[in-house]
Amino acid sequence: MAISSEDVQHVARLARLELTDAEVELFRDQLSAVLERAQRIQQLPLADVPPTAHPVPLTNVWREDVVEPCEMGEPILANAPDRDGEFFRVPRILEDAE
Amino acid sequence: MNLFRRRIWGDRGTWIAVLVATVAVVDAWIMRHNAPWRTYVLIIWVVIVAWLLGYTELRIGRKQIRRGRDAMFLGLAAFVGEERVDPTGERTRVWSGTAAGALAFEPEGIKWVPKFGDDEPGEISLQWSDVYSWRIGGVLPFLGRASGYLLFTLYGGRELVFAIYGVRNWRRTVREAAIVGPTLLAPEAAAAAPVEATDTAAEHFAAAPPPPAAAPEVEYEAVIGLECHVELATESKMFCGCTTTFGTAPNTQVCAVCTGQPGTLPVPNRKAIEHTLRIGMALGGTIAPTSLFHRKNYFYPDMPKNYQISQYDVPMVTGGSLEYDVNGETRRCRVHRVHLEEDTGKTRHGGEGGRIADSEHSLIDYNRAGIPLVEIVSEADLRSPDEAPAYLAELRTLLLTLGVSDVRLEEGSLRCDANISIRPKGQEEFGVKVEVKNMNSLRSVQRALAFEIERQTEEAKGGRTLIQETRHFDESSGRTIGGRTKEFSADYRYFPDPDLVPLSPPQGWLDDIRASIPELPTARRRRFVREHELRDEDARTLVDDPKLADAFEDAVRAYAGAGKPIARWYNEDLAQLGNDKGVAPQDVGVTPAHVAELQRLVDEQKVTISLAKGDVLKRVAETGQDPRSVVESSGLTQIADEGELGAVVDEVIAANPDVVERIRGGNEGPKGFLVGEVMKRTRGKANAQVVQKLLGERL
Ligand SMILES: [Zn+2]
Repeated sequence: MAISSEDVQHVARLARLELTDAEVELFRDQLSAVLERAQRIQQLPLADVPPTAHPVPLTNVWREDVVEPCEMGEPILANAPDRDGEFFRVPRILEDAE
Repeated sequence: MNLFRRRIWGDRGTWIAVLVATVAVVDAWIMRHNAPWRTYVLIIWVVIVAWLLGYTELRIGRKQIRRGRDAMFLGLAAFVGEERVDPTGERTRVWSGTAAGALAFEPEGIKWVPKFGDDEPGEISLQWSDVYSWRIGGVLPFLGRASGYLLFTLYGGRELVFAIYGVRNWRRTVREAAIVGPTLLAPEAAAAAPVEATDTAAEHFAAAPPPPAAAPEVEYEAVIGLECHVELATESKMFCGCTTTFGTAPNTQVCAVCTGQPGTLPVPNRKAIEHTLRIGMALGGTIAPTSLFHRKNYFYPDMPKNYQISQYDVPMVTGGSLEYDVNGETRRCRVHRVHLEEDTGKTRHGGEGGRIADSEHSLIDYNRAGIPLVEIVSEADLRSPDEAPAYLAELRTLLLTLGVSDVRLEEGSLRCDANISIRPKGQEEFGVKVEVKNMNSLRSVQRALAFEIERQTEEAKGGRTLIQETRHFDESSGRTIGGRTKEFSADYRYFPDPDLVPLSPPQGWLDDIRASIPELPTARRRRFVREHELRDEDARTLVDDPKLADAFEDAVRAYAGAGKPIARWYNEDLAQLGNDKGVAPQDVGVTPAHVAELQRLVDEQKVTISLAKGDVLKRVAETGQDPRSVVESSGLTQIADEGELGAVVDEVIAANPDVVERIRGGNEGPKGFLVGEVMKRTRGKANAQVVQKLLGERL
């Protein structure tokens, strides 16, 4: 299954990436190659194989509900592109932008 | 009657109730005497109530043209204007100024003169016959707790209908009264005399459909589903050890993990998983043997990672249901799914209170980002706006009982969005779904849904197509506002989070959780009614706050007697005290043991019931002292001794010879006065029965 230039542009827009026409072409071909590879796997008899969500054969990794000191506010704020006192400052958010 | 034991005067709901009762009596009197001005009395009454309720809406040809106080004036003017003739023939202008305009009373009719030249027609000459309906209604607070909906609808020159819906403490009496009518003119007369629209008004509102004719209309029903987000009560965040304390300085509870620094690894909070499983079990859902965390990708700075960790195709819980009562009826809403995710940060936009962001920028606080959040999605089983607050209140009680969340609405720990569509009654498939957001209280959920149903019904009846969209509720206007239509629908590109491995809770753990689930609210209410012979509403009041219910049960155990008088202490006396102090009844400083002791003192006739519920209770609450020693040390012990009381009775008789004369003359009425005098002289400590008996003997 080959993907179209429109598909690439759509995904790029979702990821807020600006691509040149040459890049669109490049990624279209690369992504198509990846999809083709995946499709080849689908040709195998996989009816009995459950979908794999995680490559590592592990479950139930968790931590107890314990508070640890988190005094990172200042260094993290110091690394922010913009701040206003103790707040992060970002370009105005449109109410409905999701 | 407990109505009078509470301090109710000054409560708006009470005044409305008194008003309604007074006018009902006056109206009955007028009916009997067949007075022609009955209509006017009714109108004045409606206007006063409308003023108190503050919600009015005026429709001309089914198009709603006004809401709020303006609609009240305009409707009133239209109603009285028709018959109003200026005797002098001069143009008299009566202005009733409101924010949006003013009314001019003129011989040829009433004119609406807008102050602001917005989208209003320049002048409307409105006759009552143009009016389709004039509706007045609002929430009816009663005794600070119950709430109901009072709605008057005055249909153009034909009939007046009023109804009170869902008043909780009143339910029994009011629903039976379910007052429909009085009717100004019989409905048959209405059909015979169809409403005529004047030319001017018809021009102004040409777009609106004609006033209702006798033809049957399509009836619509609403289909509502709710999505609730609940912040779980944990000490630390969902995927890191940051504290979850509320109300600290901005960005003081953040770390590398919850701000999405490169190379950090989230680790799920076991307690949050346990809470989610507990909710799922209590709702009777199916626990997934394995579930996954996904990344929900979106660009909005409330999540520093540019994605939210959530669950997608395999949530922890699917199915289940919740039972709730609405207007005295038990309903069940199915639950679609329950999943676990993380909360987002808080943004402040320009113009909001507190620290003001400028109009070019928004400010962000990530303290809430990463707090465990459970999403409970219902099926679209709700059919009216009244059901939403009932469902939410029940969910709240359930979550409190399970101890999984503090469920503080004001802190945003329970938030809710609604999906709502309408369809013609009897139709199977759903209509176009609208999502409503930004509802911050149970009441705003109800208001927003009521507005949406009206709006959608109007659109549908006007032959317009509804669009699928997200609308925001505006608290001040009571309306929902549509957002910009999106260029493309939300595409979150969900994929399994590679940092998080699947969850597969071991059976032993699940069994432990199931065993730890306390008695659920519905069962507890039923048990209270059965075991303690409480009324439904009393059981509900207690169980709604699990801690109150616990205190009640402790007190019943300490009392080792009937639960009914104990319930009365909590729901009436301690509730009143708590109301004054702004705390819950169980937190006024009176322990369950104190309550048991207070009731025992009353039973033993050590103290009169009014003193026990008055001075004694107050002192116990203030000092934390044992009620028995309060009674004994402050000389409040009841006097039942006939000798001691006899002396007082004699004094009273001697001091009121004229009253005694009347009683001896056969008039029993003033006897109560003498009892009152005895009470006064004994500072309320006299046993009323003994006083009655002694008075009887001596007269
Ligand atoms: Zn953190």
